[in-house]
Amino acid sequence: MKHPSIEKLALYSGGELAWWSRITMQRHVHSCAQCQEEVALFGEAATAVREETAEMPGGVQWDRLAAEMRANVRVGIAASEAISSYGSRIEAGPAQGMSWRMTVLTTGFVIMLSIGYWLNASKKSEQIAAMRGPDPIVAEASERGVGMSDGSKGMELRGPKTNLRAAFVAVSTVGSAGAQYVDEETGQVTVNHVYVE
Amino acid sequence: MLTVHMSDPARQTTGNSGQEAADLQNRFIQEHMRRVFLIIYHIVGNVADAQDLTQEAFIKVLQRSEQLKDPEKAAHWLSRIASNTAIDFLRRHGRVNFTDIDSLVDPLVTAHDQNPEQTLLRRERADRLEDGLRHLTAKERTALVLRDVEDVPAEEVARQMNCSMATVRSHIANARIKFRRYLERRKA
Repeated sequence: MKHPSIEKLALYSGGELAWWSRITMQRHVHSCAQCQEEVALFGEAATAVREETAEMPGGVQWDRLAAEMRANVRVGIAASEAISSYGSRIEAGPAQGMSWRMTVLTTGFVIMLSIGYWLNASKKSEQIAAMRGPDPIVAEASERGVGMSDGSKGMELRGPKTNLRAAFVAVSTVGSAGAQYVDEETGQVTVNHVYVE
Repeated sequence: MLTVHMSDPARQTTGNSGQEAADLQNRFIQEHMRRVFLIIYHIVGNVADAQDLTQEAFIKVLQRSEQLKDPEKAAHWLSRIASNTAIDFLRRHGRVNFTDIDSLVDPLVTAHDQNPEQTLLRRERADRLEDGLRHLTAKERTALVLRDVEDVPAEEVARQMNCSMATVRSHIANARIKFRRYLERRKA
């Protein structure tokens, strides 16, 4: 008995053969124990691939990695909005090729500095006022920067030290405040965003 | 409770529609991030690149947030963007750079709250898969992940990989044969 090639059996096991080849193969496999076993082994391998690819790679702490990615995606979207709002100016400037990655890096650096400031702050900023009960959370966004306070501690992300106005200022009712700055000379975009979680 | 202050009336934005869109985006990210990360990770083969490309894929999709109105279509579209982003990355780099997971530093460390036996078992399985996938070329691995893991039809795999059906069938067959032989060698 002439057996089909191993490649054809591999494709048959996954249903990729054309209909005529599939019918021919089906007839052969039905009557050939050896090829039935080959097909079964391909099925087992496919199951192993499916099961094992559902596992997170060893060593990855998913919760932390996912939180980091979510934050970067938020910043990336904010950066792309700022860039599209000021696309024509950026296009004319020398930093035409600046990517969202650069913006993410810039923002990450600013956020890191600000968290350090927040942890060490001994008194809250006088611009951030408490509005609720004993432990209020106040978010404020202005051209100067963005900030928030929980009543006893506060943090503020100051904007770039230029004479430029903030390009975009936004606050949300569920706990975020942001300001985006576009340097008209270099085209560099700085996105400051703080979130309450 | 949260109170908000806005001090630039000319440019301030808030409101229910904006908040709903943001909530929709957050739910979308939450629901699909793990799946998308794993697709990309198994195509490119290392965590650092998979992290960058996952972020890139989500940003591409969320820039057109009107697409999120139909969750099923949006999920399908995201999968396509994710695999295309990973494939484009492989094309740009010409080869796949495997980074040893053990060499990655914090935050990619083992979670302290996991059962040690479970952690070991998971790690063994993940390592076994990684080891098996290393025996495949980048194209074979991409074809295998899309077809056998993501259950993408072969015609769609061919479109995404920008090759003919005959070529993609060849990649799929070779990948299955190599991976099966790898599993058989391990058992032996």
